[in-house]
Amino acid sequence: MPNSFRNQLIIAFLLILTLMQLTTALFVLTATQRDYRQQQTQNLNIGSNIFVEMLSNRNNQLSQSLSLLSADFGFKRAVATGEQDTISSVLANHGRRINASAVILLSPEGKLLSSSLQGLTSENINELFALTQNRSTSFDIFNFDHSSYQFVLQPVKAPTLIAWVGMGFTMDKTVADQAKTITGIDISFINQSGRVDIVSTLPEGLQQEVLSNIAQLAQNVGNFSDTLPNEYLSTTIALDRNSNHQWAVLHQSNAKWQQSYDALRNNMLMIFALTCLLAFLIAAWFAGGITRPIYALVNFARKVGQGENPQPITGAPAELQVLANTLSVMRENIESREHELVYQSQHDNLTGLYNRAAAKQQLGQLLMSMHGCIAMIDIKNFRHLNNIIGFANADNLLMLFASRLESLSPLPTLLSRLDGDSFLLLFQPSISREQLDMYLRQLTKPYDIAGSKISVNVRVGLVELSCDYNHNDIDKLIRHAEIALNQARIESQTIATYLQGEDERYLRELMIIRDLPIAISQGQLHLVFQPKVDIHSNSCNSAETLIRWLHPQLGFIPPDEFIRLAENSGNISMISDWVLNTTIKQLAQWQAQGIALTVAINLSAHDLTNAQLPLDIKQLLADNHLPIEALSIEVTEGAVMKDAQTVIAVLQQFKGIGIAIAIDDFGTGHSSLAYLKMLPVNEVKIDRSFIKDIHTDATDLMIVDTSIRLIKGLNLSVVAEGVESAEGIDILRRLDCDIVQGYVYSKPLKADEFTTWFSQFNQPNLSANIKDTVN
Amino acid sequence: MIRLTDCLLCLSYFVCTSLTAASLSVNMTDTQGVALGDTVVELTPVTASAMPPKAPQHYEMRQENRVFSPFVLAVPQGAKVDFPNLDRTRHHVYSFSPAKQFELKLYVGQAEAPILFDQPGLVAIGCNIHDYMQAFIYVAKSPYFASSDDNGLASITDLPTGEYTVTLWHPWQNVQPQPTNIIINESSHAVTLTLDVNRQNKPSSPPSGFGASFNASSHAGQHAK
Repeated sequence: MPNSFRNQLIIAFLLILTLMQLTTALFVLTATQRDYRQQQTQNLNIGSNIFVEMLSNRNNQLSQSLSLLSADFGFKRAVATGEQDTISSVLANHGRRINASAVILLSPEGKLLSSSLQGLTSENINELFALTQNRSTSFDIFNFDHSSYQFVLQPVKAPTLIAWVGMGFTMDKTVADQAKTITGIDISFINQSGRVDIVSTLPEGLQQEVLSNIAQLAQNVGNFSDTLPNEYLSTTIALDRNSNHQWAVLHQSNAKWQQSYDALRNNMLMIFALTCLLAFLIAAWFAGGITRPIYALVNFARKVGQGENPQPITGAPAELQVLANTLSVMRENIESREHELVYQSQHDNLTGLYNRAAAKQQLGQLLMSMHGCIAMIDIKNFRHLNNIIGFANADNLLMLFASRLESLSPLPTLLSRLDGDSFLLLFQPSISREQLDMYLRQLTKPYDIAGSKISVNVRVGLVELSCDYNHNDIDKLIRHAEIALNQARIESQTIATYLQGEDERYLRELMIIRDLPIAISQGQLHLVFQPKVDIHSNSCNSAETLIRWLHPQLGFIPPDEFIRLAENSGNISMISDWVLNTTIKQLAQWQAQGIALTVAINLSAHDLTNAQLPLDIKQLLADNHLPIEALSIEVTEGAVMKDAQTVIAVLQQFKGIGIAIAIDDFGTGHSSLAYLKMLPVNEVKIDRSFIKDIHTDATDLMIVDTSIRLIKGLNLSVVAEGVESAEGIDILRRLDCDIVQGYVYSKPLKADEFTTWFSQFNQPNLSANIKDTVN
Repeated sequence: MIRLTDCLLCLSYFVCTSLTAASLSVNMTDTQGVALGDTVVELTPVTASAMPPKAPQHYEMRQENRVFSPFVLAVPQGAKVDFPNLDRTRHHVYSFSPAKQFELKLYVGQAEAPILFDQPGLVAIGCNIHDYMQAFIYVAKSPYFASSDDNGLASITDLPTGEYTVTLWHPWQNVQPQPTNIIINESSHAVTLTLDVNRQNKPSSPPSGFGASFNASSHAGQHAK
C-alpha cells in the first residue's frame, strides 16, 4: 500500500530527518572545513613566523658568536697586521670555530680585505657592506654562486673600528630539518638564481612537484597555495628582498586536517545512518501505533459488515478508541435493528405469527425428515364476515383466532399466518382425525368481539407428509395444502385431505386457464360442425357447432374441461365471443357458396345473463347479411337454473328477435319440468346417454319414448343426440323423433369437410342412396 | 653632510706685535656652539723652519677605575708615556695603530717602562681585558699643540709669530677637517674654532665584577671623571 498512512508517515519522517541531517552536515562540514582551513592557515602563519623568528634567532646567535670571535685579541691582532696570508688563515681558523661556510673581511670603508669566497664581484661586496650599514634585527640572506648564505657581520674594533668581519652559513638541509623540528612544517629553500636549486624536507617526488609550479612562488609571498605541492597548504617567504631569487617555502600538510575531516564526515555519515534507522524504527513504531488500531477498526468494520460479532477493540489511542466504541455501539444498533427487521420480515404484523416467507423457511428447516402433517386452515366466508363486523373487528377476530391457535393442544410445531384468514400449521407427529375434530371444535367456539359473540366456521386442507416430499418441496407442499383446502371449499366440507395426483390435475387446469387467451389469439381453437338430420324428410338443414382445442403440449383438450374451467375462471365470454364470430363468419362464407343452414351455438350460463347479447347477435347477423334463422342457440338446463329469472328474460329476447332456442342435454340436469314449460324454447335435445343404447336397452327406450311424447306434447321439436346406428334411426323415427344428430350420419366435421358432406348428403341421388341404405 | 669648511666658521684674530713669544687661546665648540673638550689643536708652521724640540715633559695614560685617563692625550713626537695602573685589576693595554703598535701587560702595582711614541700620528689604545676602555694618544709632529679641556679651552704658548696651519682632531669628529692657516703676530690670540662632531659618551667603566652588571646603580659612585 504505497499510499498508506503508515508509509507516508515514515517517508515524511525520513524526509524531514534527511533534510535536517543533510543541512546540518552541510553546515558542520563546511564550517569544519573552513575552520580547518583557518587552523591550517593559522598554523602555517605561526610556522612561518616561527621560521622567521628562528632565522632571526640564528642571526642573533651567529652575530653573538661572531662578535665574540671578532673581539678575540688574537684575531684583532692578526687583522691589524694587514698581512694577507695571516688574515686569510685567521679567517679560516675562526670561521671553522663557528662552522661558518664563508668568511669575509671588509675594511671600515667597505673594501674587500679578504674572502673565503672566490670571485666576489664588487656588487657582492657592496651588498655585503650594505649589511653593515642597515644592520637588520632579523636576518640577511646572501646569494652567491647559487648558494644561499645567512650572513652576519661584526665590526672588528681595536679598539676603534679596523674592519668588518662577515660570516655566512649556507641554508642547507640541516637548517631546513631544524626548522621543521621546531615548526612541524615542511620547508623548502629554493634558489632561483640562474639555475634552480631546492633544499627541502619534503620527499623527492613532492620536491619535483614544487619545482614544476615554481612560477607561482613570487605570487605566493604572503598568500597561500594549495598546489605547492598538492595536499599541502604552502606559503612563500622571500629570503632576499632585492633579487627575488631566494625563497623559503613552508608546506603545511593537509593530512592531519583531512584525516580529522574524513573522520568527522564518516562519523556524521554513521550518525546519519543510525539516526535514519532509528527514525525509521520510531516512525514505523509510531505509525504502527496509529495504523494498528486503524487496521483493527477496519477489520472490526469488515466483520460487522459480514454480520459477525467481533471482539470490541480496547487499548487504542483515545481518538481512535472513541471511533472503536462508536463502531461497537453502531454494530449493536445495527444488530438490534436487524433483529427487528428480521422479526418484522418473518412475522405477521397483526398476529405476531410467522408470515408466509418465514413459514416456508421454517418448514424447510423443520422438515428435514418428513413426518407429521400440514394443516391449512381458513375461516369460511371471512370476507363476508369482514364486511359485516368491519375491518377493525375482523382484525381483532384474527388476533383472537391466532392466539387461540397458539393456546390449543396439540400444539403445532409451526404456526403461521399465510395471508388474510389463511393459517398454516405443522403438526409433528401427525394429528389424528379425532384430535383434529376436537381441535376444530375448540377453535370454532364463539369469539367475543366488541361485546358480541362471533361464531366462525373453518375449513382445513390437510397434507400428510411422506417420503414423496423432500425439504425442497415447501412450495409444493403449501400448494397441495391449498389444493386440499380448495377441495374442501368446493366440496363444502370442513376437512379435505390432499390426494396424490390432484396436484397434476390442478396444474393442468392452471395451464389451461392460463393458455386459453393465447389459444384464441394464436388460432389453436377451431370449430367443427355436426349435422342435424331431419329424419322425416331425410335432409340436413341445420348443424351444431362445437369447439375444439388442440393444445401444443396437452394435445386435444375436451371442450367440457376447458369450458368448465373457462366458466370458473370467468373467461367463458371470451370463448363465446370467439365461437359466435367464427360461426357467423363461416355462415357468411357458406351463404356465399349457396348453402343455407341453421347453425346452433352453445351459450353458457354467463352468456345467458347478458341481456345485450341477443341484440349484439342480431346486429352481427345483419352486418353479415345473414337471415336471423341462420343462427340458433343451445342452452343447458344447468345454465338456465343458475339464475332462472334473468336467463328466461334473455331467452325471451332471443325468441323475440326470432332465434331458435334448444335445451341441450335434456334429462341429465336437476331441472324440473316446470322450467320446460316456462322456457321459450323451440327444441329439446335428449342427452346421448339415453340414446346410444336405445336399440338394446328397454329402459332407455321407454325414457326416450316418454320424453319424446312429453316434448311433443309441449309442441316442441325433438332432437336425439349420439345416434350411432341405423337401428337407432329406425327406432327414433318410429318414436316420432324429429331430428337426429350423431355418428350414424357424421362425426363433427371441419367447415370444408362439412361443406363436402353437406353437398353429397343433400344431393337427391346420393341422398336417395343413403336413404336406401338407411332403410 | 660633510661640510668641511664649517669648522672654521668664525676665526678672528689679532695681530701680535711681539715676534718672539705669542700665545693662542682656542675656544672649541661643536656646531651647536656647545663647548667641546678633548679636541687636539695642532699648529704647524707654514714655513718649514726648524722647530725647536719640545721640552721633555712627563706624559702618562692612567688606568683608573677601569678607564683610561685622559681620554685624549696629545704628546709631541718622541715623547714617552707612562701607563700607570691605579686599579686593582690587570690591564692589557695595546695599540695596533700604525703610528705605534705595542702591548703592555700591566699587573697590579707593578710599573712598566714608559712607551716611546716616536712616530707622529694617532694611536688608538684599548685594553684587551676591558673592551670598552678606549683612549687616544695624538702624537703631534709640531711642538705647538694643545687639547681642549672640558670647557672647550685650549691654549698654546710660546708661539713664534708667523703663519701656521691649524689642524684639529677629535675622536668623535665626523670628518677630518681641512687644515686652515692662521697668522700669529701678536702676543696673545684668542680664537673660537668649531668642529662637527657626533657626541658620544666617553668610555666609562661598567660596575666591577661579573654579577654587578645586573645592578649598575649600586656602583654609580665609582664612575670616574
